[in-house]
Amino acid sequence: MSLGDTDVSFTNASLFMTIAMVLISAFMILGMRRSAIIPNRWQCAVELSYEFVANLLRDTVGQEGRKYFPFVFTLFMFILFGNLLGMVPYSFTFTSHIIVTFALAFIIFVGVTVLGFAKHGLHFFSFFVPPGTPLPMYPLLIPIEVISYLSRPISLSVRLFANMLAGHTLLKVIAGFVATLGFFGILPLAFVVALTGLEILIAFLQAYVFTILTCLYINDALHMH
Amino acid sequence: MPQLDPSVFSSQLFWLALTFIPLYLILWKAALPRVTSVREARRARIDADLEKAAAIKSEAEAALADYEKTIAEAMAKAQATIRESAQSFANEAAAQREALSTKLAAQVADAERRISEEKNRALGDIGDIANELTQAASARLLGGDIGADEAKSAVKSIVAGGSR
Repeated sequence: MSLGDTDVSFTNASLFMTIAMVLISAFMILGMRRSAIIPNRWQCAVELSYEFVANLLRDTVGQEGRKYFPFVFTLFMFILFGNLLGMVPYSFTFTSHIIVTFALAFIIFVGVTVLGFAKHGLHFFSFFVPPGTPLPMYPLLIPIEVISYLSRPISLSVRLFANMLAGHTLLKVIAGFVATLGFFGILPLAFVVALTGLEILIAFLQAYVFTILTCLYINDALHMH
Repeated sequence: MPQLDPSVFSSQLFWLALTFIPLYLILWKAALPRVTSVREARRARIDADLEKAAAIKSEAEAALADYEKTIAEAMAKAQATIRESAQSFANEAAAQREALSTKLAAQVADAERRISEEKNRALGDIGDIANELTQAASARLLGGDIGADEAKSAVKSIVAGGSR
């Protein structure tokens, strides 16, 4: 399948992104179909995820952050479901692909930079000068700040990508030992079971880290230092 | 590694956009507003309930204050009544006592008057007896009647001398 000259084939990654989209929409919309004052378990889970991201955004950005809540929430749920779907055997982890995480991080980077300039105009450049820096330090500090700012999308995307890739690779390598070791394969099996628990934790943790860093970047753009 | 293979980048970017953007729109326009409205409704309900509870509480406090005021008033009234009746009883008792003491004083005065009357009469009688005795004694001792007038003056001079 292609669009013009570019290849847009429906791959494993596309399938699992679609599954994540459908699952999240179903989770959110079916969970709220009763919209009761006293929620049932499903609605509780929906509200829990809502509250979790809302608190995260409020604690880091404050009240001005409410506008960006839908985006931050979508980001969190998309990454979380991508990570968790990857834990299902024979499935595919689209968050372990650098292009996916980089695209998300790059959108955030561009969006936050545009936001900063829209909010502060050219004053936004003062973001690269930490307050209270003595003048002779400027030639040293400004390049450092600029590089650290520009490396944000890379660190953000590589963190998620590397965590997902390393975790899943480790699981597969150790799982490979189970059959070859025969009876003693029970040891790597136990290890794989423990690691699966750890990987589920990491799936949540990395979605959380990605989201809270996004919130921090939005906060930086809105309030500078 | 397939994770770093640039040949699949275009397709992944395309499908990322094709899934992430609709998901964003669905959550933004359909899913999240319902959660927000439910949470706001719950908040409003809780606030209203708290307000109602506060109103009922203040009402109860007013009723309690009312009750306490009534009790205090009743107690004050009761004490006033007690004081009043005690006063009136005391007044009545004082009046009765006074009446009784006047009556007793009158009786005492009457008795004293009668005693002094009796005394005077007795004293008068004593004078007569003394005169008669003097007359009789002198008649017996002196052998002659000295007369009533003589005896009387003699007794008088002795009584006067004795009292001197």
